[in-house]
Amino acid sequence: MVRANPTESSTPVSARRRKACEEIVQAPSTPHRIELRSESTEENRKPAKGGVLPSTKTKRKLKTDKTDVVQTNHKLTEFFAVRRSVRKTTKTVLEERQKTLETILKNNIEEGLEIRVFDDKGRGVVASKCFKKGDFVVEYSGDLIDCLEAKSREEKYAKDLTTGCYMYYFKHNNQQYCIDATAESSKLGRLVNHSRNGNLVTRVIVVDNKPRLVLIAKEDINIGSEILYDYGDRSKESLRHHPWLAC
Amino acid sequence: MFEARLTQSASIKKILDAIKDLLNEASFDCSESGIQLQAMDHSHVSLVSLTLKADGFDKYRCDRNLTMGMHLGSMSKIFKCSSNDDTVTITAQDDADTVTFTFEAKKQEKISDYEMKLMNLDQEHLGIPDTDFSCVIKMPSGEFARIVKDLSQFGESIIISCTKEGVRFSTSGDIGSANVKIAQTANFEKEEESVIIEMQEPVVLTFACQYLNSFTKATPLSNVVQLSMSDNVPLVVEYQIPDLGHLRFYLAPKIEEDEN
Repeated sequence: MVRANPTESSTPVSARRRKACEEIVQAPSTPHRIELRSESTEENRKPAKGGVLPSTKTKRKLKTDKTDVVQTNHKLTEFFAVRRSVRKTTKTVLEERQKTLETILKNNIEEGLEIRVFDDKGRGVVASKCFKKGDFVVEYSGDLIDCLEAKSREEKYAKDLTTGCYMYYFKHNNQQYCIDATAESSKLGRLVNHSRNGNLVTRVIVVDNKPRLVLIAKEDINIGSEILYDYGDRSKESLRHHPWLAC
Repeated sequence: MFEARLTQSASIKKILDAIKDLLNEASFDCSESGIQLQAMDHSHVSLVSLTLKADGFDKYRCDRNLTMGMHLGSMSKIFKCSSNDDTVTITAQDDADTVTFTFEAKKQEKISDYEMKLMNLDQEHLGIPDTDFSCVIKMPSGEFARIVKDLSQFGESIIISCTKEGVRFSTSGDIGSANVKIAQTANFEKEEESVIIEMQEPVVLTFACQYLNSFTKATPLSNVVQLSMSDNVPLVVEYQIPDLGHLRFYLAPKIEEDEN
C-alpha cells in the first residue's frame, strides 16, 4: 500500500523518517556514507516511479517497438577488475612475513639446499635453488638452552677436541640464550660454514613464545654457491682454537 | 614532505570543475613520478583517471609516496579563492592529516594559505588493461560538448556509430529523434579544428547522456577531445592537459537487453 501511494498514506512518523533520510543524502558525504547514500536515493526513487506510472503508460503508446528493449547502464567493474590490495601497509607485509616464517619453522621445511664435502673445510651447504635477498634459507636448529646449561655443556665439549663449534649464543629481549647444535642431526643449519663476508644474516624469530634462529639471505644467492654467515665470535680464546674464524 | 608548485592555478581549477560533479571526494596518489587520481562515480558507471606528471610542475618534490583523500567540493572552494594566474603550491608533511594550498599573486604582494583536512578514503582501484581500440576519434572538444548537449535534450542515451566516413551521434526520445553526422576533415592544416578518425573496424555503442554531459565539463582544459571505442568495452574520453598530463573518463556502454 505504502509503496503504491506514498504521498497519501504518509503518517507524521514516516514523514519524519523520510526527512531524516533526506538529511543523510544531503549531508556532506564521508567514505562510510557512500553505500548508504546510493541505497537511500534508490529508495526515494521507488515511490516516485510508482507515482508517474500512468504517464509512462501513455508515453509508451507514442513510442515505436523500441520501447520493449530496456537499456541498462552497465558498471565499470564488469569490465575492469578491482585491485583492492594493490598496496599493503608495512604492518601487513611484516605480519605476513612472520606468518610464512612460522609455518616454515613449524613444519621443519628445508628446501633448496644440499650438503657438499669440501676438501679444505669438510662439510658445507650449497644452494640448489635461487634465493632472493630477504628470503628464508634455513633454520639454525638445536637445543635451546640458557647460559648456565651452555657453560656446563661447553666445558664438557672442551674435553673432546674433535667436537666442532656448534654453540650459537644470542641475545633476545635482553636475555642470553644459546642454541646448541653439537649433536649430529639431519638438520642442515648446523652445517653452514663461517665467512666474515657471508651471504646470510641471522635473525631471531619467536614461534610459540620460543626464540628460534633463522638464516636469511643477505643478497641474491645463485644455484651452486655455498651459503655462509658470520659466526661473529672473534675472542682470543676462540681464535686460538679455530683460526679460520678470522677469515 | 610533499611539495608541488604550479605557476597557473587555472589548470587545477579547470580539473576540479571537470570532476567535482562526478566525484564527491577522491584520493590523490602522489609519488616521485607525479600525481595520480583514479575514482569511480558513486553509481560505478563511470571512472575518472587523472595523471599529472612531476616534470609538468614548476617545482615538484615527493620524498615518500603518499595518498591524500580530499573532498573535491571543499578543494574547489579553496581554488575559487585564487586568481587564474596565481602561483599555487601544494604542500603536505609525510603522514599528515592536512594539506596546505598557498596562492601567491603575480606581483607577490599577496600570499594566501588554505589548510584543508584530509579524508581517509577506502576506494577501489580498478586495473585498466591496455586496449587496442577499434575506433579512435579526435575532434574539437567544443564541438563534442555541443553535440552531447544538443542531443541530450531529446533522449537519455546517445548512440555513437563510427565508420570510415565519419561519426554519427544519434538519439531518440518522446518527441522524436536526432542525428548529428561529422565527416572526417579533408585537410589537416589546423589539427585543433579537424576531425580525425583512426578506424580498424566500425563500432556502434550506446552511452548515457548524463555522464557524457558531465565529461564535457572538462572542455576548457583542451581544444581537442579523443574518443576511443571498441565493442563491449568502456568508452574513453580523453582531454590532454597541456604540459601537465591528461584527464580520462571511462564510461561503461549501455547494453540492450530484451525485456522478453
